[in-house]
Amino acid sequence: MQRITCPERDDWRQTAEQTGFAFHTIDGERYWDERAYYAFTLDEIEREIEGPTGEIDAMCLELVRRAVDDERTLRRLKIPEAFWPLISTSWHNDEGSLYGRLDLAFDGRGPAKLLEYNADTPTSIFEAAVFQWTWLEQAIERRITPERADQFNSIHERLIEAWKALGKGHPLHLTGTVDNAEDAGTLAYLQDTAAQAGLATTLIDIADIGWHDNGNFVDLDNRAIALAFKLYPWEWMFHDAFGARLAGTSTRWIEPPWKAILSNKGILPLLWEMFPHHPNLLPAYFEDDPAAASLGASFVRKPLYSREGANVALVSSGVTLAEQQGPYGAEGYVRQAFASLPNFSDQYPVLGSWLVDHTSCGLSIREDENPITGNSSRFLPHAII
Amino acid sequence: MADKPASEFGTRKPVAIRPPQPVKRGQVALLLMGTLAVGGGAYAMMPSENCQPNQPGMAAPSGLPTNTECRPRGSSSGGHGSSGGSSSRSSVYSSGSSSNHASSGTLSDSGTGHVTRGGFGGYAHAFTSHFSGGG
Repeated sequence: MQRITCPERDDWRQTAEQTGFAFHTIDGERYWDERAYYAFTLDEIEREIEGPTGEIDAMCLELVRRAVDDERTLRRLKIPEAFWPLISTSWHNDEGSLYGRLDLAFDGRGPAKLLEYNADTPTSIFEAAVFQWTWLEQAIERRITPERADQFNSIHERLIEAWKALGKGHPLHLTGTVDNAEDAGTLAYLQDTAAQAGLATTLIDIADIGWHDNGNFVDLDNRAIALAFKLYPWEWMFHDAFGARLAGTSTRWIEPPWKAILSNKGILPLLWEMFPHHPNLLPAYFEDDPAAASLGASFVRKPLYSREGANVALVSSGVTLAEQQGPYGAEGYVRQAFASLPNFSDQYPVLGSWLVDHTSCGLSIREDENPITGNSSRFLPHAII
Repeated sequence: MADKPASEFGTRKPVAIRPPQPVKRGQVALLLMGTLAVGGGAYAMMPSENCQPNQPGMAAPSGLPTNTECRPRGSSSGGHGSSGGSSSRSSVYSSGSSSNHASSGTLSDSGTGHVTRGGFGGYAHAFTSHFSGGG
């Protein structure tokens, strides 16, 4: 694994805007950053990223299988009891998953370590699947990378195939907070891949979903929503006013309700309990578990529910070195052993390893001067050389 | 080393396409690829009501208000890059077959009846704009 500085394409902003990548710059700061790229060997990708990603996914599915009807585990995860039947039913009905992203610490020397699993509402998929690939094509043409360069990236094609299997020709609604540029971009991209799979699609703001007294969620045309992709976390849906009506409808959701288990940081200690000392896991404990003391005074503290690094804190020798502010933490915290991220030119990269329909199929990299990856961390492309 | 994408992969042409407009309350024209959506008028005729509060006993975490109201590469066996084929990733909005026009659902159309809106999204709006639903 190397970080290679390289020239930017003169016209990348124009290319980004032509392709609909409107959020390449956020609040005046680069989000897309191609002044460098990360280079991997094929062996690193296959042995250290692709293989472990599939293995972690399998462990996660085993965790759900054990947890979904286990009251003690669901209580530890602070999942509201009212939604246990919804979650259990979705699992036993084998409701399918579209995608997810594992965040990994990897330095090219030791095994990749799971930092967390964005199982429910992962973003940055357009730039991973499309704009990163466009960069590679043009970088080869312009001799920015070696001609033989490749990329771990079949996300786009696998999304289309996954939509075919999930949709089975049914109409699809896609929903989220569409006034957020990044979420809107993610929804638009996934809508496009669904359309390429042959699905008729409708985009609707989450606040515009209606409840009909015939027992259906409906769109603005009062058409029943049979299949819905939501870029809106399950834990938020549970607390919204319509949450109480989720169990009584026939709407099938993507990601399915059982992903509420995997999007919870509580899976980190649960995985460590189930698969202790697995090379791709870090020791982790619920904060109220006396065993958490085994981590000593240095650890990473994460809320059970958190997005984009919010409320995550690095604690060293009892002193908080870095903390991202945010609104999470009321449900409790987990403590995870500190995995030092590699330092390349004073930048800390975190790898995003993508799963589509449970297949490891792509890589994205977020980089930051801060060792906690947040929503302002930059996206850098990668290549296999 | 994995195969490179076939030369016919995607359309690859930069395509200038207007970003899609999400379906928003009160809008009639919903454009992704130029398809006109209908039904906004019908929506305007529907009754509305306030939503129910959260279920008893469900706390709104993190001190956020409880929502009690409604508002109007591939695998080892194959290439690591794209496998080629007929899909297009030239842009977010590349497909001509997509639209925002809802088509007939597998559930029965709602027809007449009572519709309540705004029961989702309240939790998100309790956050600042810096916190999206994505992660």
